[in-house]
Amino acid sequence: MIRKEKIEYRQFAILVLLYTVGTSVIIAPSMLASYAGQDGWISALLGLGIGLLVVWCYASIGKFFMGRSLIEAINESFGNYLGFVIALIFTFFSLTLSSLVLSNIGNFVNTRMLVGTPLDAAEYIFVIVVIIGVRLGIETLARSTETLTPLFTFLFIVFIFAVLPQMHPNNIRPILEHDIHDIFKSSYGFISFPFGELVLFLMLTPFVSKNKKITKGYVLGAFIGGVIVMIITVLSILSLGGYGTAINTYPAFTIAKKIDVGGVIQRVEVIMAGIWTFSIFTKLSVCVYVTALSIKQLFRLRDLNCLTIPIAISLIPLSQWGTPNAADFQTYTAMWMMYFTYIIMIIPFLTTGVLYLKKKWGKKQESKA
Amino acid sequence: MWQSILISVVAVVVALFEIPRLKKLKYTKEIWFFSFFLLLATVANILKFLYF
Repeated sequence: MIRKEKIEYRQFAILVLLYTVGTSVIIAPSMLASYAGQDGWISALLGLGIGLLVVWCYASIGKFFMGRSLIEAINESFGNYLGFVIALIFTFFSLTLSSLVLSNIGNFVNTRMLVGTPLDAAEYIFVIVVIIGVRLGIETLARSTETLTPLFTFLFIVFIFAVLPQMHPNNIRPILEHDIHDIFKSSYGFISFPFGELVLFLMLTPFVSKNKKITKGYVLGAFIGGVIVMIITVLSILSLGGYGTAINTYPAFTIAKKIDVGGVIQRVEVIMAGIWTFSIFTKLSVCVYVTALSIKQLFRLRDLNCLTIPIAISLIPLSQWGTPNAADFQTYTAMWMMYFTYIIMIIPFLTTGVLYLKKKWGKKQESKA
Repeated sequence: MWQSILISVVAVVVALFEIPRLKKLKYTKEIWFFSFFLLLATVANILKFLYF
């Protein structure tokens, strides 16, 4: 399929970076510390290593598809009927992920920043911005993220330096107090969220102008994003301790609240939350775009924009039914979403295997003839 | 109640803008898909406002 829109590998890397940081920057620290406590940073390191390996596999698969998206490759390898079912499951995953991202930002705004404001109001406003972004196309979205990245980087560096006085090295000790199983348990979650979820980018690899540079963009973006999440986790553990990080729903926001530079610069948590709002906007936009693109390719439609508004509007009830509140998210939703992500992670590998065998089989038949 | 009416009005306005655009391009299949998904989304929103 000929695609009009093209993005540079650098823009692709920034999209991957902001998607990786996305919601994980506010949720991952507590998830990592839930089993491993103050050893959460070791889980993050383990998760980052394995996660990057997964992302490298995705990138190689993206290159192997040679300009085809995941849905197109699924249809080619599994045929019309089985391919349709598998593609439908992938589309459902993308829609579910979009609704969960929206519920994350909705609950975060509702419980921490604009307490008392109806959840619907926060979600509708966020969705309107996402609709505008998605309708403008992936090229515009990539350029906007490229423009705002310096601001994101600046605020993140300011955040690190401002939190430094709150850190207590004793909070990270004793190292390796927890069982190695607990450390692995925490890293499982970190592999699927956010690295496993990067499977969605296999729908966007055909838009990258140079096929050769997909691996560089994919891995670099995921690596920088993963390191940012790891730094936030270390900062949370050093400031709040292992237990404090585990029981806080949004530990990064809690430490941002503690920022006090010389008694003059205080209560800057909302400015800090701005960087997370931006990264979550990117993640939600990518999720909605991929959902619309999947439906478009699944049903062989010619227009993508006509699907964005219905999809975005349906996310609000879906997000509130799937995750009624932040506590519910931590207990149930995060768990089943992790299993769902692991199942979806298998699809690209299966597709590649079948495509490879088909290619080999075809060559054998040709040589026989 | 008012929220349900509001979301229905929004859906109608969206349809009034989108359908003529698709009709102009002669995208009949897309009109059907758009209408189906918009109906589904609106019903889900109304159900949420009324019962949840």
